[in-house]
Amino acid sequence: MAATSSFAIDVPETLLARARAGDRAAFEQLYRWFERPVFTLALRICGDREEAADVLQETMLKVLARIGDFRGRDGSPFWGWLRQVAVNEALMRLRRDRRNSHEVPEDGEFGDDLTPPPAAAADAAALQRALAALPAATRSVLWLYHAEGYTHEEIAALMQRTASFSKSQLARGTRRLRTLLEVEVPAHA
Amino acid sequence: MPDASTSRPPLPYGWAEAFAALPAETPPAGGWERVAHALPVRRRRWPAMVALAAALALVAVVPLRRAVQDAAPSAPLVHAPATTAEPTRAPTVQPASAEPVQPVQFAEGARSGSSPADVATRDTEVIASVGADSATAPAPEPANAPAASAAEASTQSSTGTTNASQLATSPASRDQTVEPAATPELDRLYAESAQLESLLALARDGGGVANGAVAMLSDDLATRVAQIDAALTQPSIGSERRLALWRERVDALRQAAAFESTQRLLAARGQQYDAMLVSID
Repeated sequence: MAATSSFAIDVPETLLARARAGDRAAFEQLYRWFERPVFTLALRICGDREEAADVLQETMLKVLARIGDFRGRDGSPFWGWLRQVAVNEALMRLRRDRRNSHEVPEDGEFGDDLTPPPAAAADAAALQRALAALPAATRSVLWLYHAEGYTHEEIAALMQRTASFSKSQLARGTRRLRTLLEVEVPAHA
Repeated sequence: MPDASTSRPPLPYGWAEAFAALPAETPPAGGWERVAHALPVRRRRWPAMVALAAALALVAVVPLRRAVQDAAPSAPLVHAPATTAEPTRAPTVQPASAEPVQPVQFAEGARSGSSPADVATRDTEVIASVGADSATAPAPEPANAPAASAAEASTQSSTGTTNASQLATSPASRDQTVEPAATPELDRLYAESAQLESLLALARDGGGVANGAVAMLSDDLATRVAQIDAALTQPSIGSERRLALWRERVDALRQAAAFESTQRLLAARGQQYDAMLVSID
């Protein structure tokens, strides 16, 4: 069961209207609301704070510059649109930077890991360290799937890969993550 | 070797909850400042905004001032109109010292010919030139032009919006039959008229492109003022009629100033004046 995305902030229509009219105060309010979700997502995908800060800036600039185009068709929320821009921006940088584009080799094993996470996953610092140790593409799949609730098809479209790639990375990445956490536990015990 | 992890039960929830429990990362400070700096700057037109504020203030204050003056008609009149009207007086023209001053912008439409001095002082937008019927207006009389030339030079250098030579040649100044009782009110109307015209010139400075409805409304107001100016040039006009015409003129200018101010306000908000055309059978 996917947890609620940290982006899921309902933005009042009045605030959006002010932002569309070019109100700087409205811009700032939107920025303050979403800077942490965007930065966190970017850091999980890119793995580098400086790069994540760049993603945050570019995302906000794009969103604020194009906010007049957002109409919320079909009831889609503003935060969903903003998150899409942020994910695209982060993944674009990931593709651009070949150093971080590595992934866990595919092995054709797509089985979902239904086993609960190890106890060490409750340790935020340990989980963050384990995530940081994963290849960027694998970590991105895990984060988009588990934290943001994207489907394999959506992840495949975002990453310009196949759904099989997403499934494989998820399975392999989850196993790697579990291993990393289980190994880390004795060090803190 | 004992595995510590196996000795602890797994979490009662899944990876999604474990990820969601991670604290949000805090971005570096100053992020908003960088974004705000990089945002495209909306074009600000401070002169237009200042003119707008001034016009709004005047539109609000002038009726109040008029009401106060109307409420105390017996009070001694201090012959001191607003500062913007002061340069419109030519001190060397003795008979005209209490006579009306014809503001140059709107008076242009009532004149068919222009003396060199008139042309030299035209540096602001002429509203009445759009709709005025210049063929019906009489030519200015150059008789008093030499007397006013010295004042003209000083006037041009001070405001550039008022032609002192018109003091002698304007329709109002030619009318020597204005009764003393009407003069104070005429003075006030002249001063207010000059103020409004100055504000209109400021508000319209660099006005850009207007849509059809806006242009039509603006043109209608200008035409109305031009028609009043044309009526003021008639030599047989009486003092009562003159006073009424000047009141109409100031009223039309107020409307024009209010309209231009609204235009500027809407433009500053990124909106525009949309007049809806309807058909009534």
